[in-house]
Amino acid sequence: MSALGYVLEHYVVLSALLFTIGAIGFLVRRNVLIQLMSIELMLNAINLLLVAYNRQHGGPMTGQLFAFFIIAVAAAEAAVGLAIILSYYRLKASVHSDEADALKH
Amino acid sequence: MTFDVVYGLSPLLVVALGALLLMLAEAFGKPNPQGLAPTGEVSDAGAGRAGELGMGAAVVLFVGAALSLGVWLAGPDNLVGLELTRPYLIWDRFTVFVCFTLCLGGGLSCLLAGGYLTEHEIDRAEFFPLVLFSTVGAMALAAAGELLTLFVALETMSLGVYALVGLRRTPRSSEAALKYFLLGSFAAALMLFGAALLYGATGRTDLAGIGQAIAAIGQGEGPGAAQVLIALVLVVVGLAFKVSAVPFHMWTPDAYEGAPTPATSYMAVAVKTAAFAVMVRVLLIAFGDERLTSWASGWPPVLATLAVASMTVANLVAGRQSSVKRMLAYSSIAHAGYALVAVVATIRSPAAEGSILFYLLTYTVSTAGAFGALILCGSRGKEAVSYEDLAGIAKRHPAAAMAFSLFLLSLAGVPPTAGFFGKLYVFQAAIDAELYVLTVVGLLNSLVGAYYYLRVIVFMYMREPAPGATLAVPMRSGYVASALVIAAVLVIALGVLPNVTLEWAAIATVGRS
Amino acid sequence: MEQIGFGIISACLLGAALGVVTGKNLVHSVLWLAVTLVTTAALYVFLNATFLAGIQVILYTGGVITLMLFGVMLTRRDERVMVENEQNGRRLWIAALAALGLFALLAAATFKTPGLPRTQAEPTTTDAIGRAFLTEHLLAFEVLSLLLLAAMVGAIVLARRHDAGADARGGL
Repeated sequence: MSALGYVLEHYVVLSALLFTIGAIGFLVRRNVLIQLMSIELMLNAINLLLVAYNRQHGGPMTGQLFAFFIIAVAAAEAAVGLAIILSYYRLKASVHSDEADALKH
Repeated sequence: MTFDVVYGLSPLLVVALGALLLMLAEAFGKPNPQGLAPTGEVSDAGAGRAGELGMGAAVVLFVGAALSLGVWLAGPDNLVGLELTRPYLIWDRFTVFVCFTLCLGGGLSCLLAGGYLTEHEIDRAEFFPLVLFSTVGAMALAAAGELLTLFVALETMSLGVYALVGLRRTPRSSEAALKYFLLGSFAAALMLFGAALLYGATGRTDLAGIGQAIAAIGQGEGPGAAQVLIALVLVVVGLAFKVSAVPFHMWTPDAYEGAPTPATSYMAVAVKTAAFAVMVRVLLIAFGDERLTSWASGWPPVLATLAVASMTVANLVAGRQSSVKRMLAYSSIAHAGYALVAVVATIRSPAAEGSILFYLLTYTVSTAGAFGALILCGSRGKEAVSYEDLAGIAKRHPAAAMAFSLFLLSLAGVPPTAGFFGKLYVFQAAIDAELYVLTVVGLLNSLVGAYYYLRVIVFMYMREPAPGATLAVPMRSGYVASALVIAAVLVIALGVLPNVTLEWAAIATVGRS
Repeated sequence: MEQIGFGIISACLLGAALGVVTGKNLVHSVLWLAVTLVTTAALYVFLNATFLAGIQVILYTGGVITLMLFGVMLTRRDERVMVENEQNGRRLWIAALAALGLFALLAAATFKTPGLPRTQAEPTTTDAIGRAFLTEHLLAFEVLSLLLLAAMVGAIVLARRHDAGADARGGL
């Protein structure tokens, strides 16, 4: 794989687009599972950005390590998030966050 | 060398070890038949032992606080071996002071939980390992001097707290956890994108290195300047969410109200303290460049806006709440506003960092105490949540009413309580930094805030409960009572003799370049 | 050649990401998320991060997607896997504007940074990553292990089904 076609800006713009799609998904969709997946998309965009910058900077591979940590944390976050959704679902039998309004006065 | 590291990090290590031991004790311990509900099924090994485990967790955290004190007296700078942990964990006086506050707040919350979980028959002794794990994350967060460590510590703290909020099997608790989790993860992702941009612009992940690189970029509008600014915005938004500053506070009232009260207390004190510690460190070390700390092109105007908005909005809305728990949630938002004033003041006043630390300590003891008094006022089947529940409680339980009044006066900033000196030093730092407008807004807000704190006291002492209403009977719990005694002694001690603590806070700085 | 590859892969990536957030069927969304993650792994290969690409496919795609599928299956209410029209027009516009603003900012930041130094990175080796984990970033690594433990305890507590009924009686 030659580095000939490597253009950092492309990766950054791609990552920004991906992050934006995730953010829109989070803000617009009201299904909590979709919101959770949108957060995964955003984290994935961050990973891509970190790896691209890591390629740029070279050196001690901090960017890639950062991506590893984010993957691990994202998995843990997904586990806790799904547990919360599950317990909420059992109590309310609904997965729409708009219906989460028992606390609004 | 090794001794230095182990001794220096001992508060962190003790709490981590305690978390593991408590987790095992909870999982493999024998159930305590006496502590179980008469109808409750014995399904869990640790069931019915909330009180004992709570005591254990509180002891671990208080030992952590005592060790922080020990490390302080030995002087973190004298422990040469601690250099080894740099730049990942910066174990300076600032960190040690915050660790003390965190352990204290966590320990008080654990004592409260020991009484609360037993009284309300909530079979969730996992509360305690989660608090300890979360506290480890909070301490590491306060010490973090590098983005990767910072992120992992932040998530360790947050994941524990998400679970704590949803611990009760009620729709409200679950819903609160859901909201907090979704918005918390979203904010963490925004902050992380900022961190990635910073890494891209500077090639560094340690805060000091980023600071130097930004200073180099800053000269002559070089490349990367725009990237740094956007990273700054994203990081500030993420942190503002964690300290629940307006307009990033939407989750706070819901999460605070829905969570079990000891978890609310823990969120209000520990999460906020750690978030402010990391905010100060990130802003002063990584974004401490002259350009970024100026009023024209940096973070001070943004944070000043957040501070004014937090104080004003929270104080206006807090007065309209019918639930005392929700009122205390808004009060915690207002207090974040006061602390933000001090954060802004760090740009010109060297004493401001100390005033933040002192403020956080006084806030911790007053808030943990106030939530504790609220817990004490309710008992099985009837938790005290609204103003009406508290009506006339002074006649039925004078001690509870007196303790509650003391903590509320401290939150309102009435002398001679801890809260008064906390606010005083924050405003002094703001005047030193020539932030006159912010000071005036803060003072006016303290006056407005006094209204809703005093309203609780009026209900407790001067109102009679509505005839026929179910009365909230104060519970009897040694755990809650001891937590209240500790908090009350500290509130008075810090109010009468603030000098020593203040001198200590004054020399605890993050060591900006 | 690589430019073309990059173009195709990024088109797939963005398409799949749109599929995740616009899907009406939750199971489809999860599968689109899997596609997103796998195509990202392909980009990692372009960026010399082969080990990370492997981890992404095995752990992230394998683990998280399975988890998500469980989540979807466990919360489906009979035939209500389909999410009916849930968008709120006003909210959609506000969100779209906010997000476009965000993207414009991010894109502006990128194009305003022309003169970054370009070093040719040597191919990453698993060896170097392992070393970095256990030397420089040992502290973060240890904290991460506590994080996973805390997440495990938290997830088990929240998802466990047993109910003594006590909470319901003493509830708010």
